[in-house]
Amino acid sequence: MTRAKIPLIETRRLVLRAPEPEDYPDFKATFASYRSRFMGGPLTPYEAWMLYAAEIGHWDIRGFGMWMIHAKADDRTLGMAGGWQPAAWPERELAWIIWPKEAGQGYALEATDAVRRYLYRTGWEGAVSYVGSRNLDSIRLCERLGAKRDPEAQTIAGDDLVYRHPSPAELADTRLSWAIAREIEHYADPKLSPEGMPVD
Amino acid sequence: MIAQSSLTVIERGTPRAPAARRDAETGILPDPRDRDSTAGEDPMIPTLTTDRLILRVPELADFDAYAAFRADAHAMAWLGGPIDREAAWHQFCALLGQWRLRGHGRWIVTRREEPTPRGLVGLFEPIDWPAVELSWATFPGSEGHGLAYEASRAARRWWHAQGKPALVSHVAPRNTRSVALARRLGCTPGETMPHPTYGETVRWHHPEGEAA
Repeated sequence: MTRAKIPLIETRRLVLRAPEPEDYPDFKATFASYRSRFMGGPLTPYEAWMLYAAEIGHWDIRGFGMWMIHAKADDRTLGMAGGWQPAAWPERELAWIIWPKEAGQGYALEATDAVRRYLYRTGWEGAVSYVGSRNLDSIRLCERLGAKRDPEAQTIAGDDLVYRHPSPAELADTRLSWAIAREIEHYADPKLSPEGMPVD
Repeated sequence: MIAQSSLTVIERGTPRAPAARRDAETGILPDPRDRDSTAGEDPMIPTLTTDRLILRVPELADFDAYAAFRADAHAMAWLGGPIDREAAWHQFCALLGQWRLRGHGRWIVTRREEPTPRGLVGLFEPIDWPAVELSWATFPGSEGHGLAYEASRAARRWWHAQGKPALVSHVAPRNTRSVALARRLGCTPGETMPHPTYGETVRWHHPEGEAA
């Protein structure tokens, strides 16, 4: 078995790369915090280490997985985004997490939009996101990404919401993809940055 | 455009696609730090062979056997108790991830003549671990043939061939079969350690080096 290739994705403000050992402390800090409450956390140091190893091993096992999001400006890590499908997941998921201190800058939107376009160009014909019903930041992000609640879809544990992402055809050259690109531009350009409640 | 093969489950020996150029629209280009080779054997996870056994990289096809082992009350009696398939999935992925993070890890053990997974043996070093551990487990139905002993010897030999220091193994005191195997491997009992999932364990110290 050869190692699953983990491509590098660049966006206006971000570089998405394979998770590396030196990125672990930021991951651990977030998964030891209240921030991880919708993702099975907070975790003990042992559990966090095993989950980080699982994030990396997922690439080998599935051929896709989660990228580490870096700021292009100074290479600091901001969070993770990518494809995710543990054994109990009914469908392949688009997933994300942003470190608590980096929230509100539109990084999750920019990263997840890039990941979704990449996965669609490499064969995915759709995706869902499983979101805790009280995870309002992620529900908002689903809606900004054009995903719609699918009440018919099978959930993981019964208490999560399934958001179905627009298909590649629904996304290509549409008003929706134009709107996402504009919102990302507005976050990236200080003159245009939106005011009001910060969201991921 | 990135080749389709990079997103499918990679099979053994799958030829690599030519390196992709940056995609103008998505900004995708290959990661220069990618440790991937062009084809064939995983550069990080060697395959070991013994008289009867093959120790190889875990693959998706091994997951059902792995999950059955982790769900088996008898096999898991001294390993923190059985866990469900979903928890086993993360551990299974973590087997690969630990190789990527540490440069060492655990192998799936099979008999040379057939591919059925028989056990899981190799190196284990979670964060803040006191020393690199040699870990062994035989899957239900494959116990009693000395497979864990033979595989552990091979793993230890591989480890010491790189000039690495002596190993330890953490074993629950009432796990009599593993205590017997530790003794057979020449280990001596030392201090106790509260294991994050096993409860109280005894740290067994392996001898320095391994004769070939």
